[in-house]
Amino acid sequence: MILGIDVGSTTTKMVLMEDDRIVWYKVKDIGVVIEEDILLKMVKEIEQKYPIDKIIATGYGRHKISFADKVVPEVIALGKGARYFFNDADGVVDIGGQDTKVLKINKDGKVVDFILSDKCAAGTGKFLEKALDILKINKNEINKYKSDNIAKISSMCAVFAESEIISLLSKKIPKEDILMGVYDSIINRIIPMVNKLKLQNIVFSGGVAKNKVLVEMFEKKLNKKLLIPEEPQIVCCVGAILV
Amino acid sequence: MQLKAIEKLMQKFANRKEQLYKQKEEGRKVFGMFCAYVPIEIILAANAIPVGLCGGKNDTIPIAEEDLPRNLCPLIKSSYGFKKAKSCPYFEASDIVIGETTCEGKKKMFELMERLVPMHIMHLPHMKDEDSLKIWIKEVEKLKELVEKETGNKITEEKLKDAVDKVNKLRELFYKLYELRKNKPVPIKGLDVLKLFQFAYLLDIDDTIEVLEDLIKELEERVKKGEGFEGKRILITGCPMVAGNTKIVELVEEVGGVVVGEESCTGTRFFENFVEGYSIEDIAKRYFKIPCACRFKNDERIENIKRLVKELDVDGVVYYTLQCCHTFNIEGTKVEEALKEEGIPIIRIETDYSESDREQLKTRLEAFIEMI
Ligand SMILES: Nc1ncnc2c1ncn2[C@@H]1O[C@H](COP(=O)(O)OP(=O)(O)O)[C@@H](O)[C@H]1O
Ligand code: SF4
Ligand code: SF4
Ligand SMILES: [Mg+2]
Repeated sequence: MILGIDVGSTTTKMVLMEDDRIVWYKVKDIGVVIEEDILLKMVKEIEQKYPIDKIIATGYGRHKISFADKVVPEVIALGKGARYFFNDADGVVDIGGQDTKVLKINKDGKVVDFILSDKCAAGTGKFLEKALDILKINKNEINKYKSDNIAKISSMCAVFAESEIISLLSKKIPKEDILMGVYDSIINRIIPMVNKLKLQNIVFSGGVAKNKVLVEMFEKKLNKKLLIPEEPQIVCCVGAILV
Repeated sequence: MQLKAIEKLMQKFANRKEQLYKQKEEGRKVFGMFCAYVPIEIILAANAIPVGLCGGKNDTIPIAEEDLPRNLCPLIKSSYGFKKAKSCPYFEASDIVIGETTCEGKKKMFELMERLVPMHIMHLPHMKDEDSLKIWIKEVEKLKELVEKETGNKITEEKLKDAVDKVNKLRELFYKLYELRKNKPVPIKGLDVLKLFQFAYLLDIDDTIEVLEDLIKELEERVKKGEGFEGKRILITGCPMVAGNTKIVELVEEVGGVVVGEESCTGTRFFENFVEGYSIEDIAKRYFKIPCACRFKNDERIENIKRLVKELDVDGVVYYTLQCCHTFNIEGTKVEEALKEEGIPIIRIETDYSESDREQLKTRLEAFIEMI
């Protein structure tokens, strides 16, 4: 069996596959700061249950895994992973903790073009987390907040957007309206990238894709359904195994 | 295995400061310059020494930001900072500095720099029509007068001819180097070539010619033996990468690429096109052709990139812009469209002189190289 390890900026994902079938997986809430010893210990535990033939590393912290047999760049892995879950996909939007990746892929899941936004936290999971912090909303209850009144957050920069959220709060704008505004600003950053690459069947992956309300808003704006696997966080990890 | 000629280059560079100050003591004048548009033939013909002063280091940016805005191209800030901090030996050796009306940022920076060092500004017209060429020819004539006045040496026809022949010889050697880079595997790494271009702006021209002659012989040997570097063949195009700035080439070559060409002022814009004739007009014409993004409608650059991709059998193009360089950044849209139309993979990279984005850039470049 092949074990994939995706050490992301915010979370670590592990997937075990046998002949293109997912046998087991896990998402751990610690990212690139994870110690290699801990990873090794986790691998040992898995090995007690399953035979591991090979270990593939990917993700922002991929080079930290010195015991990996192979290291795969995230962008390349994502393309393969997307095509594994949806065989008609021609594009991927991945919103992770610290960056957003938009990919165009061909029928083999090979990446033919891509855009990364990694210069600013705006439009990433980190920004969303920060907003939840300010709004005092628990991450697990996020899908309970929904509203048709979208508060306007105009700033393109995460730091300014945060101060905008604070000022909206002080104006007694309801939390859910502000949260919709946060979603809106994340989506508005991604749509031009999707348009630039002319994507049609888009796989939405990464932690932020777990956000039901955001997904609904995104689909409405794009005027089409997004393809989202049951566990959108492991797409990259699965792809790394398949490269 | 390090090339002997590159070792020699490093050695010469290490000695250059001392050599330059000695040449100065002997009475030769030093002309600082900031651009590939300055016709060095004129300077050489007056037995003076041209040195490129563009700054490629982060260290001098904070002091520059005391006078200059933060959101300005790092090359401009770094250059100004070197003068303000008096920390560049080449700058301090310069008796006069030649500037040009190229991009807005440089032009306005010169207005501040003029207060720190004697300067002469050449008017480079942004249009490429006949009337503009006439202005430029006049500017080169004016430069000749200035150089004669500063050095006290008359630029005779014969001296000008010698200088033209010498610089053309340098150009010919760079053409040969590019010819050798067409080979697979490519006999030299991009990082070595970049250093060569960077130091070519600083070294004595005779030394650069000597190094290049050695290098070409050595590379011919390598080619004969089939030695060299494999990897995805990358062409870099965009802003100059001046001494002190090697980040992108390093990264490309770290993640499995090998740079086989550079459409840049530390690249083809430095040597392409010979001076055809020995008059001031002939010299002016050669420089007027440099396809820099600060010019209006610069489609020759796009054609050049496409040609280089073919000639050097390039797998992918890295479009390199320094942060806040509007000219190259905006022109990138046209270049990107033109290359995509031909199915040539291109990635656009924007960065400054800091090291903070190294990992992010590496991720991008790694994915790009894996993709092509
Ligand atoms: N259950 C969830 N609901 C909503 N958002 C989530 C959930 N889990 C994670 N996220 C978001 O996903 C981000 C992490 O995504 P992930 O794809 O794992 O990032 P990375 O690969 O960069 O580590 C977090 O910053 C968080 O905003
Ligand atoms: S990029 Fe343009 S302005 Fe800059 S050195 Fe080259 S020719 Fe001069
Ligand atoms: S890199 Fe761009 S902004 Fe900087 S000096 Fe050159 S043309 Fe001007
Ligand atoms: Mg990720």
